[in-house]
Amino acid sequence: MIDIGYFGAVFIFAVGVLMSLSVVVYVVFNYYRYKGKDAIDEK
Amino acid sequence: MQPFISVTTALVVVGAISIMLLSFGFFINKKLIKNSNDFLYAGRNVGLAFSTATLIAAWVTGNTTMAAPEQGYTLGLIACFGYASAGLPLIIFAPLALRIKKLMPNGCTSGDFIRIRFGKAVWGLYLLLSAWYFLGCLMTQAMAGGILLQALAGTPYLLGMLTIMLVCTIYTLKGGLKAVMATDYILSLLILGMLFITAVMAYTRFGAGDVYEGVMTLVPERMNLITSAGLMYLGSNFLFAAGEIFHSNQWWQRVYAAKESVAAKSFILSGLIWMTVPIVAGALAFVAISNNYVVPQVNMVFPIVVSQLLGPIGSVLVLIIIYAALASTVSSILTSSSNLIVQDIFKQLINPNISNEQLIKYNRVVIVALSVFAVALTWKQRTSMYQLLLLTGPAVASMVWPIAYGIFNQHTNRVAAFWAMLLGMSCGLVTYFVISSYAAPVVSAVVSCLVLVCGTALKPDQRFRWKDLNEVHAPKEGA
Repeated sequence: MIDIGYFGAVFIFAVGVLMSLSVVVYVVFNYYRYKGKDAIDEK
Repeated sequence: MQPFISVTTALVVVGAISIMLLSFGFFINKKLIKNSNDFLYAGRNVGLAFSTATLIAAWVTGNTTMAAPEQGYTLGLIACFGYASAGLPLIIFAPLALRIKKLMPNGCTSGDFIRIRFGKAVWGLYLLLSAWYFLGCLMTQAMAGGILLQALAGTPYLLGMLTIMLVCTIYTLKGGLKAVMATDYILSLLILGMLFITAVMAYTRFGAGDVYEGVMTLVPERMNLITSAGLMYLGSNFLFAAGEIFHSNQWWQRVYAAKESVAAKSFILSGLIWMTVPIVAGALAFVAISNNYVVPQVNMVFPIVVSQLLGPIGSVLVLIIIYAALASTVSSILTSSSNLIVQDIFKQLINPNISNEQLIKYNRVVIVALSVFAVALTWKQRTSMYQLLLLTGPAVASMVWPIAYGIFNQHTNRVAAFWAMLLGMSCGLVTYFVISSYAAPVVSAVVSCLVLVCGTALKPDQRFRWKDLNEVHAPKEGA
């Protein structure tokens, strides 16, 4: 095991939170984008 | 270690719950199972209360009730909040559930979506990663059954493990998803009710102030909200849980089973209710720390704390809570995994014209095979359930972006999706062994996201049409 130290752990935490927020924002944004619409194929 | 209740009491409690579950299975098989749609999708007409209850019961696993206190005990307060964050992906899955219902109203499995959306290479990889997850998850639940009875009544590990697997296998075989959902309704009420009674009794007896003082005197770092392991855990848990929920057929099967009008609402409600469970269960770990209880194995924190606090009544409460949690999760994994294997492997690769009767028959064979396999893998007791579950983290986190992106973006590149999953999983696995099991889901999700988004931006897919997803046909009724 490599010891990444405290700042390594903080970095993993920060990246994890950012990635989690990205998933939430992407899903919620697209939910509102497609709300009430059928899935219409783009050309 | 001295047992908290006699073997007879433990067997009477387990026997009573088992008889209830088996009776339900037999009753539903006789009265309500008329075709494979009933067996596999509970008739595709499930309402809000049943849908919410079954989602809660399926997500409150043996890990929630046993690993949340384990994490609280080893990592401290931050782990309880970290564990609770696993409820958020249930809420975030709600918009995806709505979209799935619209795109694939007659869908059968999560594998259907992956196969049509991304092609056979991604589908093959998905099935492998999915099997990795459901076997890992099934193993932890079986282990929890063994550890539970061992901790409370001193029975051999194998007795508890075999009992939970045998009972769940039989009632799932009989009633399918309909029986699972009906029992989940009762089990979720049982879990939530008993858990809150236990927590109120524990904190009434010791007082929150005394518990805090005790922890601060003996192990003050457990109250530290910025420990390195705790931070990594908090940062990764959402991604791990999102991976579990987004990819697993367990949740897709429930989306297909629910009415369109309630699918999203039930995910939101269940996520909100679920989040209280790990906080309440995890909080009990601090009672153990403040009272300096001897915990011979970290898995046993929850049963030991409640039994020491509340005596034999506490032991019976713990037994009911965890047995109910295990039963609902094991049966849920068995139905969803067998459905995935039969529909995606047998129906797609061996016999596309499979009849309704054969579909049910093969599902039952696979349920038995999965149970036997899980029992064989957990025959030897392992130290930490949660570390075993975390080994599935790299696999599931690598699928978060391909699934979310694939559901909303018509031009998602299928080759990029394949490499996103493969590279994400590989990098996550290396991280698990080289850096930390908690960092693995983060690395897996980041690599997967970068590969997928860059691949799609460079070469957007022009062939896929949303209407292709409608080619899936549910089994015909009335057979």
